[in-house]
Amino acid sequence: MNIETIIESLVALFINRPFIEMLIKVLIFPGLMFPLLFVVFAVWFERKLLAKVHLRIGPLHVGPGPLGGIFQLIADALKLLQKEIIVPYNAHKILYNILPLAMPMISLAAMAFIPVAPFPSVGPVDYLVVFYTPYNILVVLALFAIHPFLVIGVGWASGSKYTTMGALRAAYQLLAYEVPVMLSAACVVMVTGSFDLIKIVESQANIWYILLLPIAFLVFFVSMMAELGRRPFDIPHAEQEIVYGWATEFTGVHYVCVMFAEYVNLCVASCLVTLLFLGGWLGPVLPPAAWFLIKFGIVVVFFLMGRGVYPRLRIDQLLNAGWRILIPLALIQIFIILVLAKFAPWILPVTFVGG
Amino acid sequence: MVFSWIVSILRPLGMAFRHIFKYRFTVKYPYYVLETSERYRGRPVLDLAKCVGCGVCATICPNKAITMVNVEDRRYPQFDAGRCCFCGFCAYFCLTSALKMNGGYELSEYDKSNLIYPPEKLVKVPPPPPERKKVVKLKKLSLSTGVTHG
Repeated sequence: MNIETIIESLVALFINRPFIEMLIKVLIFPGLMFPLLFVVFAVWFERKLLAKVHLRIGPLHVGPGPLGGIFQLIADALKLLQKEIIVPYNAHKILYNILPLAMPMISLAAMAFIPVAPFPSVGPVDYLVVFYTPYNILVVLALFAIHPFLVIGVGWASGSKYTTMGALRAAYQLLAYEVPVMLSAACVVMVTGSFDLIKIVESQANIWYILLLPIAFLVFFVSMMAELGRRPFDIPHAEQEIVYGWATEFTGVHYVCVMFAEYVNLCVASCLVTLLFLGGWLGPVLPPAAWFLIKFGIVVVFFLMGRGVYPRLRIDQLLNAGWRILIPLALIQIFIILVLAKFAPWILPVTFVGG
Repeated sequence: MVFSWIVSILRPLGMAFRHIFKYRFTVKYPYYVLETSERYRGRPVLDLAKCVGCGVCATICPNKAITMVNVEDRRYPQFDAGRCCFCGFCAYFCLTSALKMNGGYELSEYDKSNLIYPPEKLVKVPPPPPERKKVVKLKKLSLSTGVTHG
């Protein structure tokens, strides 16, 4: 076997269309690069947006011209990576070191199951998704539901009173939002008749679910905000009450991982809202990926806006909102869907089996 | 009731979105400076030709910021910016109007000894720094309410 045949076989192995498509999917668009760039951009954009809401200017110096401050996050991350990792005396050493590193992994894993747009290819229609399964909404929501348990574990493993309080608050909050998330996602799944995000998007060709199921959208958006721990629901962090909640003890790399996981979660949640209720990549003229990014950006703006506008809820107010408002609203939406399926099935995109 | 509840949630959101396109109150200070108001005093500036060395300014100064020093057999005021309370008495009581408050307010120094202005330094009117881009005016300034929100 001479060298030319080896090179030829290597070329045949790596320089072919499926392999390059796979590389693009895994490394660039829905895969690794997209959440990484999103985190850098989102932190800067959040600070700029909140500054504008407060009639300030915001970050200004690290970066060129109108993008001033965009490299601030990179500078901060480099600074944090140099810092000492302090493990508290009372901490459970193994869990304290492992759990914060597991957080971004699980968040990024959820990103792998999200289809972003149809892939421009010859042959059969392909989608920009790292790993396709017809039950991807279940997988994404399940991976999402792991995050609060990591939070509880981290809070306990840090062995400090503030982290423990933050973890308990996260546990309470989990009770408030997890059920509405599932119920409102169930509305979409009922109407579509499929757990497949691709089918869910394609069934919105005539009418977006934000118009057909407005209550479910509201419930899903609000409980997603609680799931992310964004400002009106940042009870587990609550800087003014319990130093930084469950993440108080983290320094250096651990802190970078925790913050990175939070922003990747924001990315995943915005993708979910876009796909479930805003018609995903559907839209005229522009390419599908561009439509997806536009809708995604709008959802991100609304997620970030909560921090500049609303005050933090108390834990009892959140539980009240979850159990007395969000869950009944989601049940009402399910009831409306059932009534529609019985009396006006032509509105729904898919006919119910036995409806 | 439900309607007012929804309005109470949506109204601050709408206000926040309106704020995005509004005038910003932050001034990028080293590059842009605020215009001072009409009666702003700042630090005193000395006119050597008018000064008769009577020492009224040193006597009237509540903080002892001004001391009289001898320069070439004549007495002149020496000014300590670290002690000054910017009341303007020295300029007000000056018999020959040799001292004037001219509005210079950038008095920070790295060295404490630079805060003392001997007469030859007190003469100089503080120049506007050359790299300044422009002077910003406060948008809405009224005597009754002060600066109002956009």
